[in-house]
Amino acid sequence: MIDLFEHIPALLIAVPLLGAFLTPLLGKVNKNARNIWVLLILALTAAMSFLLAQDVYTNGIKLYTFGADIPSLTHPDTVSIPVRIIFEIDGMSVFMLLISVIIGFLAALYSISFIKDENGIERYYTLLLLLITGMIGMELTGDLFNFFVFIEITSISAAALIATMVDREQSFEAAFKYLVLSSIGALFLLLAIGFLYGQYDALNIATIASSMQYTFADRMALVLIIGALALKAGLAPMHMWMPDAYGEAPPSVTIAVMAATLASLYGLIRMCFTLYGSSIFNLSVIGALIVAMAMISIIIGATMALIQSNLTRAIAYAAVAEIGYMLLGIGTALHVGINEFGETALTGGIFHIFNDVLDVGLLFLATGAVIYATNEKSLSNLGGLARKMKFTTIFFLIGLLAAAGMPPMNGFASKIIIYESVYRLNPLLSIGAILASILMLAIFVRIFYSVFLGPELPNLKNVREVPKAMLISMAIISMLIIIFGLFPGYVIDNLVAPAASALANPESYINAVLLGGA
Amino acid sequence: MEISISTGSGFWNPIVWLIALLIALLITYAIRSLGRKDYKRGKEQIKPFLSGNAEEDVEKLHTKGDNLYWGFRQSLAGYYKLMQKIHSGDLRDYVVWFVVILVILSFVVFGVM
Amino acid sequence: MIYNIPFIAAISLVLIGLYTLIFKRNLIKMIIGITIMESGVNLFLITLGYRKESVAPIFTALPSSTTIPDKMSLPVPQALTLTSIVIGVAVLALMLAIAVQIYRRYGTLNVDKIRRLRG
Repeated sequence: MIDLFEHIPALLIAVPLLGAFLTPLLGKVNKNARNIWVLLILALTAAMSFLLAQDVYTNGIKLYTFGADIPSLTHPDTVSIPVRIIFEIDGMSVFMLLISVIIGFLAALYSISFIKDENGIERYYTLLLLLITGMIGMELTGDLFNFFVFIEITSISAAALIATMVDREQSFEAAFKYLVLSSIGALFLLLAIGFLYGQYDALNIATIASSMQYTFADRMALVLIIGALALKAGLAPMHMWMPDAYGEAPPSVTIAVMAATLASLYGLIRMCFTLYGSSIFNLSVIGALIVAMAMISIIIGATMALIQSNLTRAIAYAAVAEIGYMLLGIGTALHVGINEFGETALTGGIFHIFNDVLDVGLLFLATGAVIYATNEKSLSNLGGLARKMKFTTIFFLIGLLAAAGMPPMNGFASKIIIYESVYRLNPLLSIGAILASILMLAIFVRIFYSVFLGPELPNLKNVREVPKAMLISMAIISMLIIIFGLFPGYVIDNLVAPAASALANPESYINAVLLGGA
Repeated sequence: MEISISTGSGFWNPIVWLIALLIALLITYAIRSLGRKDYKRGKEQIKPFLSGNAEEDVEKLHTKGDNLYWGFRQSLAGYYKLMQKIHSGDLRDYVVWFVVILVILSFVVFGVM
Repeated sequence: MIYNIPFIAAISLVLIGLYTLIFKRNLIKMIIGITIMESGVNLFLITLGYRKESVAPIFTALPSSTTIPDKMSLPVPQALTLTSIVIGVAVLALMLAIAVQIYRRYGTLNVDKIRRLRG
């Protein structure tokens, strides 16, 4: 009897992939059968990832070698280097994996009602499941070329999904820009992987990290890797594809593409902390540059969002600013190393990843509900919707308070850790971040006032509340936001602290593969 | 299971904050109930007074989204004009920024700057 | 020196592709630029696997005087290049499909005029 429990890392890739390619067949039979099939596949993936998370939190780093007799056999017989593609799952990978499966499930649940049934709708669900497969693969893998393949899977699916709304021509322009920038980033990443392979004759992250000597070619590879992954993650000044892509995609796609962007951010963190994490050389100048770019992101995102008149584009600029907050914490940790406040900054940055995708995701879903009900995207034609759409108003209010960092929501918990640790680095950075947070409150209050409050407009008299599936997905995210806000200590001790300590000890990552075996 | 988190130089406990908010709301209610009790809703007391002129239709008085924060936009008009020129929407500019960041990063990594 | 020429050619292809992407206005020319860049990266990858006077890395039909594994070229970069070529074909197909739709809606392929999302 095959012990399925130890094959979960492979099943996490195989199950959504199988679901993706069987969805069109079920779609021809019955629409409801297809919806239930998609939700079932994603629920199964989520259940398996919770089991995997529990295993990793109790037993340490988990390895999975594809094609070996026993999954943890990285060195077969007499070979002295690890062979075959190895998935290596530690605390940080599990953290990002939980984010991806939760957001994937909620995106599919939301799109059951949002995407109206037209021709070619099965391709939407296939692409969504492929996107989720790509994200999971990016977060589980311990092999550089495998990471590149999954990044390409993710960006191709995301670019095709961004162009879902075919009656607006701007969505094709946004999809084209996203695809061109993604393939440029991935090509430079492949060039860097070629440099590293030529130096060390290995593609495994742990193997390269243990024999890294920081020669000229390694530095060139570091430059290309950080540039390409920062482009994919949306760090200023390479953030300009983000408002276009997030503003034109349907909101259920936007929340999934946000999770994909955070998976690229995870790749950046993994390369900086583990691949180049040896203590012979220090990356503090790169940390300083990342902190500078993060501050520029925060300022550009917060100020540009105030003048947008397109509803989703304004929230997309706020998402740019939130990426800046995450990288502010992580860049500080890279700059000062892992000492007293470096680890606190890393904890704040990692916690903010989860909080940001929940908060801004809830805002996108709420604006999606507004767009579904009124068919209007521009702020100058909307007003007075709180009378008819009560639940959407409440969810938008919760998302507003959370994204702007108001207590007692989860945004405040992670932001206060970032403020206090960045203050020890330089007080001006912290002051700029707090002022930008106030600006973000101004942004969302402007949107809330002009969309929901006020008298009822004559052309919007027939709006009704949105269907149940959309309300249920927004309610789940709101509950998660409130729970994370009221019990932040629980979340940090159980989810974030293992991730931060896994990044702070690259030796445990390296030794797990090099000394692993039957 | 502990609820408060320790930031770098302090701690944050949301339950304590909620209790403090509740106490503040109770004090506010106590102060408000010391006020006058002859307030009638829906009568002539609360209608706006425009020196005797007729009140306009409520739908025309709603400030649309684009016109909010007009003062903020005017005072930072130069900055916003520069920013809107930078975010040109041209795909070639996006690639140019990427190449610029690669060049800056290579200066930083190779220790020139 | 002569053994470095493929590497120089690969990097020149990447730089030519980047030049095309930055300075040309037609959408189709930008897509061709991306394809040239990808050819450059593939050439770089396949050049990494060359050993001087080596044969194909197949065990069953070796010529008699080859010492294993010194005279066999590396097989891993060949697999990487094949995967990368296939990924490039998929990306190219999707980009061309989106470009066709853009031409149908906007009426032009000039990147200066396809700028409705700005600000």
